[in-house]
Amino acid sequence: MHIPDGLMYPATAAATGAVGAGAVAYALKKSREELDEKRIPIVGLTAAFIFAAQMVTVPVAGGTSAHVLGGAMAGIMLGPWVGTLVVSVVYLVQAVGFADGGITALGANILCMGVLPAVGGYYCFRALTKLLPPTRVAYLASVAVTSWLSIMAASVLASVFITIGGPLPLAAFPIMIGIHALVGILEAIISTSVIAAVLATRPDLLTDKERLPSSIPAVVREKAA
Amino acid sequence: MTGSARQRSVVPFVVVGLRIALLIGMVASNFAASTTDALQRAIIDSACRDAPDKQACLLEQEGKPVLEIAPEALLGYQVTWLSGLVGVLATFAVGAGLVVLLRLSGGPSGNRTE
Repeated sequence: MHIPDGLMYPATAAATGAVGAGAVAYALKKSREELDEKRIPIVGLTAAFIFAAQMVTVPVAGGTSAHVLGGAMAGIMLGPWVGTLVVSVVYLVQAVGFADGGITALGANILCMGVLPAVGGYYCFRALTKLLPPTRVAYLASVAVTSWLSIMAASVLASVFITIGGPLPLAAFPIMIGIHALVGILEAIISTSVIAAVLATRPDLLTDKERLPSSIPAVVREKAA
Repeated sequence: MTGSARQRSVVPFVVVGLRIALLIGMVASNFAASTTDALQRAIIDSACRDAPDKQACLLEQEGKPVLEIAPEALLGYQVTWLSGLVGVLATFAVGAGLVVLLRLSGGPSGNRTE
């Protein structure tokens, strides 16, 4: 879903660049307030994992391939703004070092594949875990649903950027959303698997410990209080 | 405060996680699908929507770069184990380094673990 250079009008690229820069600046500020030393390498690790995961594209349907985004996963694991910072690092390295996503589209890519999934996904996940019982199954189901919704939301926003804010016809809109409904299933599987692994091995590294399943030891869940 | 979970080091977790990321980036990426991605598919399909011969249009478009104005580096880019290695390590370094710089520039001392 990385938007390349030239797929948006200059005004759209400038506006999304400015808003994206503002979002990253806010993410930096919030991260400075929230992060403890223990989680510093976790930020790097999450970014590195998302980078690697995005290198693996898998066939979806009709001669189309897709990769995970990881934005919702980062938001759920690390919190909305640290998650935003993590995925912004990924898109920065990809755009500057690997020509994956345009430099002029970096703001748009950060907004639709970073800020929206990480921040929106985080609050969606919180809402779902508040509604559902505090079980491991419900926790992971919330991750899966959030991940799928994050892909759909990201594809809608990217479609707005490239159709209304770019030269593509509106016909691209339903195509993007239709394909990403399938991509979202892949995202849900990968994100849920990763968070299930962290939940099983190091639940203390997850943010929002009061939302953790009741099967997690109380010493871990109460640490945040 | 003295709970064992609080004292557990993150180093083994990070080392294992980084190994998995390198394995994915350096090995699994070589098996990545080479077909067009979802955004490219949307561009191609929308370009051929009103074409008289849709199949011929799709065949023609798929053989072309998605955008003629895309940078050469993007068009000629091949995923290799080296780009996986460099990318994973660079992303880790930038991510962790950025947070270290943030902490040095004045993070809350109350959050420090020791």
